[in-house]
Amino acid sequence: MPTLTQTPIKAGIYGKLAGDTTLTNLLAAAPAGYSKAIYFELAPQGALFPHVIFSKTSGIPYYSFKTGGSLYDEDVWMVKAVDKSTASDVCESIAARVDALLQDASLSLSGGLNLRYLRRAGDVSYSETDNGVRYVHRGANYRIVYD
Amino acid sequence: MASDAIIMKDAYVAINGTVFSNNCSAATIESTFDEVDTTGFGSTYRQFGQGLGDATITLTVFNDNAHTVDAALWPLSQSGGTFSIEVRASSANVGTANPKYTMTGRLFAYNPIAGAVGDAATTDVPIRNAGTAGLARGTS
Repeated sequence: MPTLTQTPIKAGIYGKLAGDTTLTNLLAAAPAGYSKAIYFELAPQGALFPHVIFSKTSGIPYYSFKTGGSLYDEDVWMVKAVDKSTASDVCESIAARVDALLQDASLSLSGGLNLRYLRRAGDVSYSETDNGVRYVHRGANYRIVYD
Repeated sequence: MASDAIIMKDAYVAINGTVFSNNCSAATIESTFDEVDTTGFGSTYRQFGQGLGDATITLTVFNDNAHTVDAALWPLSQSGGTFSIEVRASSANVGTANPKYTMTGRLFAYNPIAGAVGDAATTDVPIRNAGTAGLARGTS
């Protein structure tokens, strides 16, 4: 039965991404205290580029007349590559690999949860500049249904 | 003034004594009677009497991965046999604050699979009255 805690999905996504050497070989080295350049919600200070950031953007519980919690939950998780570059090629390669790993994937979820659906629901694509330095963001929002 | 409205959260639904509440997300009980025109000559207004009654209990159900809901409803829909159904607004004990509605029902329409890509498989199950007693309301 789903609960409010994000840990099972977070750990499931991280495990799927971090366990893939094709993906991790595209990423920069992780700073001290981190195993891979795959960060939940926020990259740490001094993180090298490119890296992957993922976060939960929404979660909707669906109920039946069952007591004690939702029947199933539907989340949207954003997973994107971020690169400090004037070109987007590297970022797009990372995003493509992430998509290959996550689209219709199976995730190992703790807490007795079962993954029922995992597919790309929309794209993330934009660039920004900070003090004249360009940062590229490429990735997608993934719809995850689990019970 | 605080609202005293019933907020549907844990309605009780049982078919042939088996509880299906966990797989139901909506339940509607309809009780209707024919309007029989008894207007006579010289009347200024039409008059109506109550004719034969009719009742339908419609459930919105999620089919489960083990297909237990489908396993229960499919034979009922195919055999044409009758079955008991009970619905309450809450899973609390039956009482004046939580009356039960019971009926002998028959299933004439059933869609075992319904849903688009990514949707939960839900279907509306209309259960029609099949007994002479019709829809009954009880508080015990």
